[in-house]
Order: sequence, then C-alpha cells, then structure tokens
Amino acid sequence: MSFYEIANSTLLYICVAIGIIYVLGLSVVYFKKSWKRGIEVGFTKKDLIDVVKSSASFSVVPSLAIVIGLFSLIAMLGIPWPWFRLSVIGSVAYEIMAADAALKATGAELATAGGEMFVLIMYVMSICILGGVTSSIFISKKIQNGAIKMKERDQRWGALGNSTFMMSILVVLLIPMLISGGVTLLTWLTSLVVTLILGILISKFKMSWLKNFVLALSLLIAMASSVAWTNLLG
Amino acid sequence: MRTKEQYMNEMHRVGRIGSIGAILIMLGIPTIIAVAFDAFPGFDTIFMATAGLLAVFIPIAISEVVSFTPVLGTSIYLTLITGNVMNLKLPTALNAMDITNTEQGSEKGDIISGIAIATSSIMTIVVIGVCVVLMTPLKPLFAEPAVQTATSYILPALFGGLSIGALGSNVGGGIKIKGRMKAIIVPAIVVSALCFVSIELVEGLQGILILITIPMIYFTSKLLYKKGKITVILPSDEVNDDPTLESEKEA
Repeated sequence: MSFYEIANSTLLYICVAIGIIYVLGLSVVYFKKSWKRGIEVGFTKKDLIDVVKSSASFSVVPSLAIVIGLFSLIAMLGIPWPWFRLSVIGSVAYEIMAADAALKATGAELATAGGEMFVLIMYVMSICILGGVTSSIFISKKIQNGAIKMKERDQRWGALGNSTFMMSILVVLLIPMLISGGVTLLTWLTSLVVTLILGILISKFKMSWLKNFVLALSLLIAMASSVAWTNLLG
Repeated sequence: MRTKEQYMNEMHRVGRIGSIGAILIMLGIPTIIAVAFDAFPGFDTIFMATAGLLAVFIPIAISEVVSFTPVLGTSIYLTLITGNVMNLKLPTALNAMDITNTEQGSEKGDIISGIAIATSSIMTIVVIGVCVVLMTPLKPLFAEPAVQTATSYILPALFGGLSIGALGSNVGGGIKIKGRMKAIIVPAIVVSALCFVSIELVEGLQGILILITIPMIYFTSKLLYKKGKITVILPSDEVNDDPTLESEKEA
C-alpha cells in the first residue's frame, strides 16, 4: 500500500473516530464530575454556566487557528491522522517537526514515501509527545499534594508559593514576546488595552454579563489589530 | 458530602486511567495500521527517528507537568491529553478562575479549571470536526493572508489580556499579594539577557528555562516573604481591618 492509500484508508478513519470519541468521552466525564463537585461545594448553577459560556466562547477562535494548521497538515498527511492529532495531544508546529524527523531519519522524501513511512511518522508523532502524559501519571498527584500541604502549613506562603509557578511560565513566555517588539508587542499591548477598557466598562456601567466574554473579545480584537499593525509596519 | 481528599483522589484516578487509555490509543492506532497493512517500519528505525526529538521534548514535557499542575490541578491529565496548552487550555482555565474569583491550587480552583478545560476540549473537538466536514468551502477563507497573519499572532493577543490578571496582586479567592513582582526581577533580567543573545534560542529552550526559573522565583519569593518584602493579605485580614466593622463592633 502506498503512503496516501494508508493515510486516507477507511481503517484509519475508524481508528481515529474511536480515538476522538474516547477523548470526547473523557472530557464529558471530567465535566460531569467537576460540575457535581462544584454544586456540592457551594457554586450556584449560574456561576458554573458562566464558566461554560466563557470557556466555550473563548475556545472558538483558537480552535479555528488550529484548523488552519490542520488544513496545511492534511495536504501532507491525508485527512484522518492530522484530524486525530490536532483533536487530541498535538500542535501543528510539533507535528511538522515530527514528520520531518521521521523523513530525515530514513532519508526518505514525502513525494516518493511508501506505507511504512506513513506508519513511522505516526509512531514518531505519538511517542515523542507522550512524555507529559506519561510523567503526569507518576508525578502530578505528588506535586498537587505537596502544594496543598504547603498551603495547610501556612496559608499565606501557600498562596504565594502556588502563584510562583504561573509567574515562571509568564516570565519565560512574555519576555521574548515583549523584546521581539514590532507587531508582536503592539498586538500584546492592544489585547492589554482592550481588556482594561472592557474592565472599566464592566465596573462603571455594571455590565457583569460582559465579564464572560472579555478574553474572547480581547483575543479577537487584538488578532484583528495584528493585521492592521502588519500593514502599518510593513 | 465527600471530603476534599476523596474528590481529589477520585479526579486523580480518573485522570490517570484516562491517560493510560489515551497512551494505549495513541500507540495502538499506528500498531493496528502497521499490522493491517503489513507496514511496520522496524524498532531500530522508530528508535532512530524518535531519539533526537525525545531529547528535546522530554525536558519540555517535564517542565509542563511541574509548572502546570499547581495551576491546573487535577485537570492537568485532560489538559495534556488534549494538548494546545499555552494557546488554549491554560488561558481558558486562568480566565475561568478569574471570573469566579477562585484561587489557583485550591479545591474550588480545581473544580472551575476542570469545567473550563473539559468545555474547551469538547468545543475544540466539535469545531475541528465541523471544519473538516466543511473543508472544501472553508479552505479558501482560511488561506486568506489576513487570516493567516491574525492567527500567527494568537499568543500575544491572548496573553496581553491575561497578563493583567496573572501579574496583578489579586490571585483569586479574595487573596491579594503585594510586592510579588519583586521575585521575578532576577529571572526576568536573565531571560531578557538571553533574548538579546537570541530570541529563537529562548523560545527553543522554553521548557528548560521554565524548569530553571521555577526554583529561582520560588525561593526568592520565600526569602522576600520571610523578610516582609512581599505581603499576603487574606480575605479574613480585610474583614478584620474593615473600619465599618470596627465601628459596628464598638457600637
């Protein structure tokens, strides 16, 4: 069988459908259990519905961005496998890197690659990204229990200690963004200013309903602004 | 009602079993295809092709688990299975905790993060599914240069707004931390200096740099907290300091 005969085969569609349904099912289980516990600990249904509305509305735009990457990946690897990869663990940049590593390891070229090459790409994409999922099975519970114990010993230090993890992520993520300047910096600033303006609108005009859509709106407006900044700066 | 420990244990169990299932599926699909089409590439070829990438991705994977677990709680498992952490799951969870004023690492934060990440995962799967079905009419629209430009700036567009909440003094649950930015000064200088050498290098070493900055910020925070340079205000402190309550007590 050739590369693309396997890549677009019915069997692969079936396997992928099972995989996506599994992840969908797991998400539903998480949702139901978290919702039930949320009600138990005193959240109102309105609180939780607000979280759902905000999370769902916000997720649309980044999901569409994933679709753009998916279309470029489909051109390389057929429909079902990229569909699976980007519905679950993967990201476009990683998938392309993994496919490239597989091709380089064998010295093959996509245009002339055979069925074995496609299977190799599937293995490389799957194995190389499993580090996070695998290590979380062993260490996530310990990390979380450690954080909880830290908080029980000293509530103040616990709150501060917990927040340092997020600060580390932001330092490493934000600084290159800000230093790179140009459109990246201006887009970041636009998002910040839009969020501030929306925050003022919410508190001044008591538009509490808007709170659920702040992230989605600032994302959309800042993304649109990036086109204008690109045209402006050339 | 179940205790907090019972709930947490149950969610960790669901997450661990879910993760094992996901690993089996991810490795199972290529194996089924290899057997069905007699196209197994051989263990040595798989090893050769994966070794280089594993060396890069294992530190990134560990840094993700170490840094995201205290923020996302038990939904870390679903987050890692469904991917797109920085550009989707982490912002969704932070935003949900922000609008409900819940603290990261608390049980309530865990619950809210669970609902947000599950909703976001379902939404992404549905959006991708719909777009694949409508691929023919959608493809030209998504190929527009403006759309391509806008999507390439998704991270700054996301983190501009999120920075206000994430770097402000309010950490949720009514807790305020004053002066916590002091702890990031040294790591920020180090990362900035590296950026001036090469931004691509910093972006490529993101996982390793997070692993380095976590202990730097953690222990600096601890030192400054002990010296009183960083102060943590709990909701109970504000109630005690509320002058209206004091006057009510006196009356």
